[in-house]
Amino acid sequence: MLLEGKNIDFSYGPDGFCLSSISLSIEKGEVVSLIGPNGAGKTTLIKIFSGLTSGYTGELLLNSKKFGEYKGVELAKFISYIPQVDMMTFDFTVEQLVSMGRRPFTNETGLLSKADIEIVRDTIDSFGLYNKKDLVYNNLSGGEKRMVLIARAIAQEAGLLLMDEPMTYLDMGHQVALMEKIMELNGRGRTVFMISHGINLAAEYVKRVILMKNGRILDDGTPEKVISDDNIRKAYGLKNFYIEKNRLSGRPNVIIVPGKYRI
Amino acid sequence: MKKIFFIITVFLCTAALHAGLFVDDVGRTVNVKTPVNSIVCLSPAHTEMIYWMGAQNRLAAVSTSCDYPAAAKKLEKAGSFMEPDVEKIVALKPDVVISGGGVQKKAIAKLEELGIPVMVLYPRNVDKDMWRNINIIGKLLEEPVMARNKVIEYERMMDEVTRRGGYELKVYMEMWNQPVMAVGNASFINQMVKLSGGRNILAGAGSEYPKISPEEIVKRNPDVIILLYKPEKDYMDRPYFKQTNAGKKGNIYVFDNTDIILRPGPRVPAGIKSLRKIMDKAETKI
Amino acid sequence: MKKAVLYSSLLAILLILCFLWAISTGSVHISLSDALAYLTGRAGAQDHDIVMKIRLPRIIFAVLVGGMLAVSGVILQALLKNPLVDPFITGISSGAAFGAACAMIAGMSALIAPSMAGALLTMYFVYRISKIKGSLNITVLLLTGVMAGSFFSSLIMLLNAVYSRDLVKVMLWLMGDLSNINASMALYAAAIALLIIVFAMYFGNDLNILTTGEAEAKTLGVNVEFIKVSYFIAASLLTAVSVALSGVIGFVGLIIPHIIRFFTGPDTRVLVPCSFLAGGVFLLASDTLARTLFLPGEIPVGVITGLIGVPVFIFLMLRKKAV
Repeated sequence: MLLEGKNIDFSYGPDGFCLSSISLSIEKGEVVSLIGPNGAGKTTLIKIFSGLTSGYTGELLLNSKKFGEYKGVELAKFISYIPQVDMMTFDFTVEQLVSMGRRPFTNETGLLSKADIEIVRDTIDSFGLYNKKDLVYNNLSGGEKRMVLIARAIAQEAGLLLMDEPMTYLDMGHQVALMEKIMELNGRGRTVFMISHGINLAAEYVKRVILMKNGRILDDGTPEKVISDDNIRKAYGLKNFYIEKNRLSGRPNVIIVPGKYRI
Repeated sequence: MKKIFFIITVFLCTAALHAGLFVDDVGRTVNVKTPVNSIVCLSPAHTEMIYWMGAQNRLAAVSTSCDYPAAAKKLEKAGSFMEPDVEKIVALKPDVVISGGGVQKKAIAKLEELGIPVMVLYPRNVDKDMWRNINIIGKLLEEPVMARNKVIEYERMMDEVTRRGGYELKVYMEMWNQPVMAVGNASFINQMVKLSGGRNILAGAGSEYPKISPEEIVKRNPDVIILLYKPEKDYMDRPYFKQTNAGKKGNIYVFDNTDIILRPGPRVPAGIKSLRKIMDKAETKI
Repeated sequence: MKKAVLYSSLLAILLILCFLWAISTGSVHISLSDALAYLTGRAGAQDHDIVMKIRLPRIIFAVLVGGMLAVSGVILQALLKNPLVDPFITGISSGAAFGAACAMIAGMSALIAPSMAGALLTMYFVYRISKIKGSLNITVLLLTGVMAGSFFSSLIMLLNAVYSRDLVKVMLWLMGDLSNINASMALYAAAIALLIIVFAMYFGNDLNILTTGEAEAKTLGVNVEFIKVSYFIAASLLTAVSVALSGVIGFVGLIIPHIIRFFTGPDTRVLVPCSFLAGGVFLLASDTLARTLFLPGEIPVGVITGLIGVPVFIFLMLRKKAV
């Protein structure tokens, strides 16, 4: 087991939102999509699982060792986190940003060895952005920006990639391209745990979906199991929809129907 | 010759004043009912003058800066020098308000609106303007003879302390040093310095208390340096002092009882006397 | 790295040129060759002392203060993730000014200790309030700093209203002045500045990463709390020392990092040394103008930095819009 959470409870305050009895484990090599309505606790859960939020009760283990027993730099060699960021305050270039991914391997000075620089450049290349490595990140397109942030996480050489809605700001074409890239990275050994808003896109690609609502896990399993009439109605309060299998892949797709039609 | 001129001026001043109608030092014509029995004096210099002229029992109130003589501190207060308390003044219903320094314009406007006569007295030299001020106060009190005698007394004191002949020393006066603020084109003080045997090297500067470049002081090379504040311990070691004549001969003096040279009042002769002591001492060291 | 060397060299040359101009300029006319001769050991009468004891210390002082303010600006702009921040936004300069004002009104001449005290107290106060649940909250820091600044400014105005005799002294001190050089103080300041610059460059990459996001930095292994707190203290110390020695000189800390970043990019490790040099040049030039434009008087140096700084800043803003 790579990442294991047992009975995790967490709250932001006495009247605040809380997570209750979260128990889930993620194996090496999995690609897991975390779905659910707004306010379900998805981001909170990802933040706890990335070591960013503490103050929870329950047990959280990484490779069978408690999170608290890892030093910050050690944890960085296992887990990388890609948040929902678009613009950056300062005009770092693509290469400068991806180089930051090497931080767990350099010391505080951040000075890169020849090997480090090569890894950075190869990573940038693998995302098809080598010719743009000296451009300012802020000037790239939304899709390219997202690729750069993921490239930084790849340069970090961490086995686990935690992503918070990586598809935000991306158009359809880029969403698919990113999904393909994520599956490619998974094929080369990365474990992926990501929050998705787009159920259908996730359903097409991943083998495991976790559905959350009100701080709890409603269901956990294959897309066929989790994306069911019952679950969707319970989780999203949606009535006007039906589920149809993709005629080529066989995966379930939620088809929205406007109110004027009768189901 | 000066004596004759002086006596003529005294008589002319007295004659020129109409009973009741006064012209103050900034050219305002003020109608005051004399004799005044209730005075609010907002100018420390003139509070001193009133005490010196024996009329302190006619003072209804003074400003918080009026601290000499000591008895004045116990008088009723009508606000500070910069911010007079208009309400208090109105409540006291004085026969006249004496304002000084030319900084109390807003208060003056307010008081005028409310029908209270305000005289702005602001002598800008140590002779004619001082005599005029003494005479105006005398006229307000309706004691012209006493005033005339006081003018004579003032002139005698001035005569005693004025230095005649001898070498005119170059003087630099510093108000403050962080940053360096000097006494520049401040005519009253410069006159006092002249009478004590010196000459302010910055008398022609643009403003009264300019911020000065230390190099300028070295360039103008004063014989005497006077600090009008309490400086740091090793002030003698300041580089821009050490290279002047004053620094080399040890003629740097701390003179922090600045009231007697900054107030155009009856202690002006005493001020000149103190300055004179410094000049005499300095001359022995040159 | 190559960029860093190139720009540092250019700025160093600019600094040397500025130095040559400053050492031969003043109310007493001393030619450049004479000035250089005095510097290299020729003894002389009055002119030698003017160059060595009046101008040289003041020049070193200007470069030091200008550099410290610029580096403080670099750090705070990174910490607060805002390129429009001035080192005085932490309220420290107002605290220092208040300390100095109290001392002036009390008749004291030694102003360095009271202003340092005011500055450090403000820094501590701002820090304590911003430490929320064990973590330094940057947004709260900004707000608290602005509040503290306003609070002390109001107190200073109150003091001025009550003790109006010293109003001019306080105002002039506030506008900044480099003529009150104390050799030992300058030495301490230089030592502090050097230590902080080395620190800022050593951990500079971590600060870079922090500017891309606290969460990202943490998961990349950066000790986020340490970086936030130590850089905050570093910037505060630089500001506190500058203000204690020379009053409040505005615009240097705001503009110099901005201009330099335009050329060198946002890497802290390059920005810090280049901004130090550029800040030194800028303040040295401003001060030399301030003490020679309207002789025999001197203009407060803060006036010149503002008058030059603002148009340059606006020009850069407009240029950026076009880019």
